[in-house]
Amino acid sequence: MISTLPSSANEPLIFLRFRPAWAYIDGVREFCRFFCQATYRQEDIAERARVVLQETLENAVKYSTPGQLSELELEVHADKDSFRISITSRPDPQHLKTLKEELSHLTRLDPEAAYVAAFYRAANEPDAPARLGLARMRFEARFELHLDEQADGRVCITATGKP
Amino acid sequence: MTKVDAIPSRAHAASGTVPTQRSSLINVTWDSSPDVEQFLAFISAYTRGRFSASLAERLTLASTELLDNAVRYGSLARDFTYRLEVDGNRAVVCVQNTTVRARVDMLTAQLRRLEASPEQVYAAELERSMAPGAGRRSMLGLARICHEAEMKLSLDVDGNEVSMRASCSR
Amino acid sequence: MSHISKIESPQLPSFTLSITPPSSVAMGGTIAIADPGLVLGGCFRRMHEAALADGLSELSVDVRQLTFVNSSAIRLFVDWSSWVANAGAKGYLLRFRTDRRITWQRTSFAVLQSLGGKAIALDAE
Repeated sequence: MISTLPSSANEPLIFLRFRPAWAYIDGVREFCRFFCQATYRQEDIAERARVVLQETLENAVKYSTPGQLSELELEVHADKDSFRISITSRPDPQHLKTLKEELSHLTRLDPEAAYVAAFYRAANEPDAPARLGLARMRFEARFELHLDEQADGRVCITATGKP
Repeated sequence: MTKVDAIPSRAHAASGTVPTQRSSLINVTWDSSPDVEQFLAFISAYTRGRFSASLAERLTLASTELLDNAVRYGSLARDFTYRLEVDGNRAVVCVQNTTVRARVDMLTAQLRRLEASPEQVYAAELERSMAPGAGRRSMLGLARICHEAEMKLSLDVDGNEVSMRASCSR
Repeated sequence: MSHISKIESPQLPSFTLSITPPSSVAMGGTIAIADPGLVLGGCFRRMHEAALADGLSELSVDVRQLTFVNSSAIRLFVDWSSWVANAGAKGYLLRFRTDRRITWQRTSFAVLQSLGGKAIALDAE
């Protein structure tokens, strides 16, 4: 079944474009989760995808710059070897700076260590944003994260996991 | 230009060329019969968030009927692609799949009939669907897209691969 | 009437909270709203303060029916664990009943237990 799917290097299985509004998150998340479950016939990858979708969509929605050019684009690529979720958005510059620093720091750590460190930071800084989401995607969902800055000022976050 | 059309595709952005007027909103490919009900619930919610209530209803109806036909009467390779896009000032729903030659011929003939006299075809198919033992109602679906949703249908064929498009002004 | 029995459930369409005095709380559904701290943070804090006011030695929180949460919701449990850990001798044991099959529970509560030390207990079923 998986081998009949388009190659993950080319066309995505799912492409969605929508305004960065919180109202879309539940619907997009659950549709993609359901699609993933139907594709792989495994609850595990579907649940992992659900976590990644929630966390990446939340970040994209929360930190998008307002305006006409700020639509989000979601792509899902899947084959028997990998599952890839990409969100392209136009984040505000301050958040982008924070995100790049956070990713750079996180990817140097083992996923579990990074997750524990994020918990300790949240406990010690009760008034600061928790920033648990990125660490959660790496540890709980077992996806690796990559950030691409595009020529038009948009940013693409790609989360890749193994089914 | 609408705000959707103002957003350049990635390829165009990278190359610095003029953005296309065509903008893909949803594109999904299944490798087996999709759970249409679940997907249509998503389409209904998405279109209501993006378009007017009236347009959302028409697009959902077209999506429902095209997908139902594709699932019911596909497919040689069991793959389906659904697309919702904006092309200039038109909204387009397109479902692509593979099917047998006889089905392609039937669809082509039906579209010709619909083009010639949509109301008559609609009435005839409605009556046919209500007859006892009517069974399949595939042609009613296409007639509904034309008559109820007031959308234009077109069919592209490439061998056994079929793309059925329903479009209307936004 | 105990303080904990007076706590009202927050109005969230996808989330349920039931309190069984003197010392049991059960949560169900999902928490995926934009800022759960605004709606639930106060409630969690009130439960903590009620447990202290009632002089409970232990408060049991059953999350086995809480099937999905966002990371902002996980933060609420971090906060609660910190309050309990900081309460010291005047505090109570915060016991979480979790479902091992639910990934966020399996990964998060183990970390919470290490954060909260002796103030946190975990029953993973």
